[in-house]
Amino acid sequence: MEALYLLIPLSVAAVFAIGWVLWRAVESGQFDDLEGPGHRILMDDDAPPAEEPAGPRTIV
Amino acid sequence: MTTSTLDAPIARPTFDETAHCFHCGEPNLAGDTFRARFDGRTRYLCCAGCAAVAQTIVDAGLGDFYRRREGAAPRPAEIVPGDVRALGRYNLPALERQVAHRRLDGSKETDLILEGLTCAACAWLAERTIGNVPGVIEAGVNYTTGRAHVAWDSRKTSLADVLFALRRVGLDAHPADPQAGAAARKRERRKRLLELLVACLGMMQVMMFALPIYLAEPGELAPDFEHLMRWASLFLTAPVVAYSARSFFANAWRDLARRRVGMDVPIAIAIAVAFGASVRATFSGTGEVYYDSVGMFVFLLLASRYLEFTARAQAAEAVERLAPPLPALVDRFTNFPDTLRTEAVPVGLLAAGDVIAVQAGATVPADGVILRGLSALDESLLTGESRPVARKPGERVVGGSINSISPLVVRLDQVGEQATLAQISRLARRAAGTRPRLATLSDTIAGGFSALVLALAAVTAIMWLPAGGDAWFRHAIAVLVVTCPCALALAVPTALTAAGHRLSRLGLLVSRGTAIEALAAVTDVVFDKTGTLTEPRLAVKRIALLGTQSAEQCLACALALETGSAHPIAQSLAAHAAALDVTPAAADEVSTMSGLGVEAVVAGVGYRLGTAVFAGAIAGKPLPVEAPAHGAGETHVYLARKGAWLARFDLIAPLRASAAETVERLRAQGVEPHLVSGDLSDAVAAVASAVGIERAVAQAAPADKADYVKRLQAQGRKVLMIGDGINDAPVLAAADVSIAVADGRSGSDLARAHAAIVMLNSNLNRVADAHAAALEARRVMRQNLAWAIAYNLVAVPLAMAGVLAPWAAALGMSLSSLLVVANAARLAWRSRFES
Repeated sequence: MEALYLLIPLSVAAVFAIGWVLWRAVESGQFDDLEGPGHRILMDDDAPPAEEPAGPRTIV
Repeated sequence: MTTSTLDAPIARPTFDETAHCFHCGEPNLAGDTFRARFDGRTRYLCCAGCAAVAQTIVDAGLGDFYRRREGAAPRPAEIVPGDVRALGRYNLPALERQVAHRRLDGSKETDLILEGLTCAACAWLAERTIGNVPGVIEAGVNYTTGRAHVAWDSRKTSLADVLFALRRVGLDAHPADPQAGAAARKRERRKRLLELLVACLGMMQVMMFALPIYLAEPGELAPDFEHLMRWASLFLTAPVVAYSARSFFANAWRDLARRRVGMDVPIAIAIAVAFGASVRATFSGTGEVYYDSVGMFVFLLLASRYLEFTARAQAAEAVERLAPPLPALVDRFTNFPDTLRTEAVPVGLLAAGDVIAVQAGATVPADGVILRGLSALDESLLTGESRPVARKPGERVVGGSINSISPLVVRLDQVGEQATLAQISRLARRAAGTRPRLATLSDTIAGGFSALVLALAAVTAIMWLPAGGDAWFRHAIAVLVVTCPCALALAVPTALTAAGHRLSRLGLLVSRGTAIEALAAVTDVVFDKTGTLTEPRLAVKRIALLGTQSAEQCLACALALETGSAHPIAQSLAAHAAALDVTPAAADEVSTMSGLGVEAVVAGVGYRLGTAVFAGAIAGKPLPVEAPAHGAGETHVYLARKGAWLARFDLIAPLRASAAETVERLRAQGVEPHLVSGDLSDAVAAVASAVGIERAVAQAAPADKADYVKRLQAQGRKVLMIGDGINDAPVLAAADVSIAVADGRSGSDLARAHAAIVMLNSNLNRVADAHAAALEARRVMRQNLAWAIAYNLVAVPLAMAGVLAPWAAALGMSLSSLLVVANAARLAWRSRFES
């Protein structure tokens, strides 16, 4: 149980560390757009697009 | 003399694939004329604009846009040479300095507001397109706000290039006004988010420590550990009180300095007292600590304030998006009439006495007198009708009207605030300012409630003093905490935010917080005619043949005479010809008589297209007797050649497909429809009966429309006004709630600014959907308020009776708030009423 003498202060320090990390994240704009990165991952393709054959196009 | 009737859809076999345009989803009247190839198959499009855009997207390797989008894209306007010039103006130093910011390394950056984003795929398309422009250093789109941040190397590319690239894939964008509050909103949002996160961290960890203390049997937990945990809780709660809660203290101090008891006063007292007592107990080693209550209290309060802020920011963003693009540049003559040189000058710098050139298709920037040129002007700003009025030298032109036919030289005499446009805007602003203020009402209620809370806490303290010990303190704190107006404060904003979200998915931007509540209370709806119930453009309804030539031949001739004109009649003929795949003949010696018609020579023969009298002069004979009967409200354009009548084109502003259904639905929802228009009686009556509206008023000036609304309001009715034109602006502001239809028509910027809600598409059914959504929102708000009040009525006596511990009070308050939020959240997803 003596471990608690170490763990409790350690947990307080950990919370402060997390707080600092979150502060950095907010200030650098990571929370400004919560939808975009999700969509971007799905939409950006790593594979190069297949070339569309230049078929018949009629534009008046 | 034969007559044949051609109605709008063409007699061609339509395949399933050609039924709707691949890009914009609208009905494809052009069959298989326009094609693009995508994913190995041929796709069919409705016009050259959509085809060009589709091909550009595919060629750029951005075909994923079509795979991932959630709906049809907006119909892109065809790019004409005038657009290149207009976009090119953004490169002029005078204008670019206003929007672009120069960075340290010499590159330039700006924020763009993207229009026409209907889903995430559009935002992705915009981001990739901007990024692909050579010379662009950074391109990032915020999917939530629809704004793009662009940085570019000014040696390699320019702002106009970026805007043009976007235009080529069918997206419109304009630079954001750096003066508008976007930067301040971003800063505030970040600040509030940080406060919320700190409170969240503190609260969670302190609860972790508090739990063993509550769960332990007396004597089970060693006092040393308990002390350690109390100290730890102190260190974790101190930042919450000092940093996250500082706005409460600041507000309470400000209120008290003004001798008022605001909502934050009981909150600040509760936090300060609870924390102070806990600190003292921690130092002395005896007594109760309330760190967990304080943490939870602050966190939940900040969460509710954050939601409120989001709602307000949403409204502000909508307003900013609707603000018209930066003022255009005008060609001003440096020394008329000695020289015809012009310079480009921003509209704001024009002065009375300036002589300017107004091109065909351009908007007249201010009031003035014509010095040179014959043309016809679209004065829908005053009359609501887009049929142009002929003007010649010596006559006045009004700022805001659109020059349809040929260039004019105008000397300005009233600019700025004196100009008619500005006056109408002033009228509208004044009307908007007299709306009842719901905000002050809730302020006074909140003040009374807070004073009551403080009084009850004091009473509780006094009640429990005789019991001795800590009891009086504990119970007073419990009362303060449990009556926290959290649920009350959350009841309305959460519902409004969720409803606003749902409306924006329907394509309706809400720019005023009170709009949704007002929409739910509406008893009558007033429609404008042109541009609202009908499309803003004329369409060819019928070609009545008066001679021996076929309809296509007549159309080709008519088009030859109208080539290059921006007149609505010309546009409707051109659209019809494109649908039928008719190419114009070649015409020589084209001359326009404003207000009468056009005369030209085609294949050696003289033709005239215009009024019956005008065309009759060249036909030389009276009109054929068997010409079929006219429909009401149609515009008739006659085509004749030397010695013979050829055809009569019947043009009409077509009714929107969704109009009749919308009126029906609104009536079923208990809203009485009216029609008030500036157009002539027979046209108005025709539309009213087609749509099913009994109460219709014609030939109404803007002031008449506003009076009609006020008369209804005097009867105690709540009026919803739906319109599109500038002349509707005073009415839009006078009505209890207004919706502006803004599907691309350029002249309605003022209307958009003064309407509470702007509809970005042309499906009138959305109005009925919005009304249903508003009713639901009001129901949810009432449920929330009822719950909040009931909860307080039950919880306060319990707290006063000493049954509730402070932590239980905080828990109860948080659960009630959660309930309110959850109830509102289901508003955002219910789609039962959407058509």
